[in-house]
Amino acid sequence: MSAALRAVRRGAVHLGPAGVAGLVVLALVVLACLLGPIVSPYGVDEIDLVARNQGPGWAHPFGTDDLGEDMLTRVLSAGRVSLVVGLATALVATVAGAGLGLVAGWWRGWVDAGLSRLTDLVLIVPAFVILIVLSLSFERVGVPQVVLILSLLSWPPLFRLARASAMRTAETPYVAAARVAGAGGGRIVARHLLPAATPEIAAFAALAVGTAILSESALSFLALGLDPQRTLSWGGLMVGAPDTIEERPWLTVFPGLMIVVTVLAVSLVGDAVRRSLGPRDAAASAARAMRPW
Amino acid sequence: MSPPVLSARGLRVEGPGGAVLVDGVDLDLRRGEVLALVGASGAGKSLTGLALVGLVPPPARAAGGTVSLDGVTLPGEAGWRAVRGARIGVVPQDPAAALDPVRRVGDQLAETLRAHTSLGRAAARERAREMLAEVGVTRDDYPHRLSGGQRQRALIAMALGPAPGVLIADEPTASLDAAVQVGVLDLIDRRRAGLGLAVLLISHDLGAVARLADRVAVMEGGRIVETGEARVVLGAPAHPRTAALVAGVPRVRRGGGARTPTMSTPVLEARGLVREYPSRRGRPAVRALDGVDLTVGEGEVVGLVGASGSGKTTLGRLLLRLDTPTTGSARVAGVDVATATGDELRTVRRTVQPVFQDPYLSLDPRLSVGASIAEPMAIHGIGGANWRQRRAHRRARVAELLRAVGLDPATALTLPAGLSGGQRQRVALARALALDPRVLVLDEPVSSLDAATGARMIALLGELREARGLAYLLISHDLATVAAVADRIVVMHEGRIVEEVAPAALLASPAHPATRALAEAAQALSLAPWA
Repeated sequence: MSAALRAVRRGAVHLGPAGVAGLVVLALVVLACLLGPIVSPYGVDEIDLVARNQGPGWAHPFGTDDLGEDMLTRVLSAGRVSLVVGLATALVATVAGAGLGLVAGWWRGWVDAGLSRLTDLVLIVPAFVILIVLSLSFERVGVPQVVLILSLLSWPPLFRLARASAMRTAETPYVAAARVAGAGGGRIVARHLLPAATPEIAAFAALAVGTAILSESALSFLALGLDPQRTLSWGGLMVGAPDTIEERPWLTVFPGLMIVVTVLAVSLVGDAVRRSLGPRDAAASAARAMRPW
Repeated sequence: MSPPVLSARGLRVEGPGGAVLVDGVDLDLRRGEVLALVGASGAGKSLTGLALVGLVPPPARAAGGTVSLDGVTLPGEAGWRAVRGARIGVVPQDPAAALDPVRRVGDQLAETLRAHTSLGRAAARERAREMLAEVGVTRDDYPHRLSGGQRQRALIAMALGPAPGVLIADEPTASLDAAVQVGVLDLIDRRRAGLGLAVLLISHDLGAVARLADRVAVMEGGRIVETGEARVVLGAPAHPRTAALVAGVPRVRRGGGARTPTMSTPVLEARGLVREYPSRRGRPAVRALDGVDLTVGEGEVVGLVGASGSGKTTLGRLLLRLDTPTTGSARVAGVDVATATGDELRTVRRTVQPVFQDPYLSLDPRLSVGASIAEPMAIHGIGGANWRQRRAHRRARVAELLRAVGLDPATALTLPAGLSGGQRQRVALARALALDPRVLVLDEPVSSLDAATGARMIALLGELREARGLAYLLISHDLATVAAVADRIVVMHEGRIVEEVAPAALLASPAHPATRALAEAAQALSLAPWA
């Protein structure tokens, strides 16, 4: 038990106070979204016409909407969708973008030229045009479709980051030594280039989680994303905002706050990860060095 | 005796966690005097220099002591800005990093002049051009188009531009070859004589110190352990640390030591090697190698010397298959390196391995020492049929190799960040030995290390050669180091081999002008006159 506690404390020291705060907030948000709808006395779509349009109070901390549905329950339930979309998008974009970036940075030549032109293409076409065209071209927009659309737009920065890092690391004598020892491209990428790029990639991947949550909300708000009747997300909750923001601000403010808090927490964690994995911080990586070769 | 221009009392610098990096240093620097601050890497020399101008880099911090300039405690009423540059000039360590890559050096010098004097734009530019010419930079250009020596000269001009009374030069010659070093040192010396400049020369290179310094202060562990006249301190060191530093300087030996070259089967062989870099954007093609023939026999140590840019490193890279020749062939154990595949390529890998110059970039900072050393064996799947056997074999081998290079086997679990430059270079050597090669290509293996550490490394290379029958291709711009260990010396100049002789003959009667230049520079920087 005390060993586990020590490990936790060591991790906390490496992340720093900001990182720990971000992690705690993120954990609370995730936990609330997972458990909230289960323990809530109200169902997500439970209509209670007696309690229509109530402001925040003891019975309904986040208020109720025009059908008397409990907003707290709805926000937490919608959070599940937003978090899944954010995390899945960041994961797909990071694996694809960073993977291709490392490949391009190591092999260079026509591989790099082709992939770089492709990224340029994605970057120069206005993102929202692509978003709209793609979402209209799907018959039904569910979570997988949204993740696919958002990933397509999120990978170019990660590609460029990983490519630049790979090119820098490829010039070092230790990579030359590995080449002379007979290491192939795959081994060098996995063993030397990827670990060197990890801190930057991790920080940017965390940012991508936040961006994905925001973009998904924007898509839903514009009614181009998930259908709020079927899959409710934080953005979907805010669809009615133009009509309700003045008389019933709680309908918009609470989902909006959740977005802000989550995105902030995620970027704090990302920043802390980048700092703690930096090669200058010898103490931080000492634990990893214990891994036998 | 005149009162000191610059004096420091009880300088103290602390690192993160309260580690004392500079521990109560007292210094006095008089007009027209060169005081050299010497010591092994990590002794606190550079930090002392930075502390004198209030530039201790975080996370370290100045923790006490006073600095006074002409009797006034710094920073004076006007603050550091009135002192730095204007009254104390600083020549930083790395000329490539200290210059702005996107501006001509003349513009950078003019900017310095305008910051400290009342010159107008045009006048400053004119003055900058004159000053560059005075220090021997004949053309005003972007830093990457200037040689290392020219960059260093431009930086010296920049430090001296506002006519300071004190110059702090931090390893001004560290990255330069011997002939260029002499030029830069003489430039500082002329300025000292002409302007009555007080110079603090920070260096681990005792050859440079012996040439320039009047007095020497020896640092160890953040303290000054010995001070005195340069001749006395370097000639008859009192402190054991100083003695160790002096003993570490490679001396040019004439006659003796050199073995008679034996005719043995060649393990490295270059025939008519040409490496041409194609022309780009109107600039002509560059021939880094221009028809090189070279043979290294089984068990032979061949020294490859030449000024910077003479093609030494390119030749090494071609023999290691890090680059491909334009024409000609590089053979390792009879196999053409450039076209080898499959088993032949594996033979090449197991025959020749490298050690590179920079100990800080030679090891992956994220891999433990053991993992780095084990990597070549893992790549070649050495040590048994299943991975469990192979891993056990690698562990045993890593411990054995670490012992062979004089390190504790427990080092295997640490990260390179915790090791000194000398230790890292030993780890790089252990990695190179992991495949039991027959020849090592050593590209400036000791030129980033301080003299004593370098000497121990050279001694280790000698032992390993005896024990394992290794052959070396020892690439260096330092004739003294090479002459001490090589059986045969090959001199390169502008991509060609211009001379190939035994070390004794080379020092006695250098035939080619390039060889003479190297020999003269080596002599100028040696501590003792040649016997």
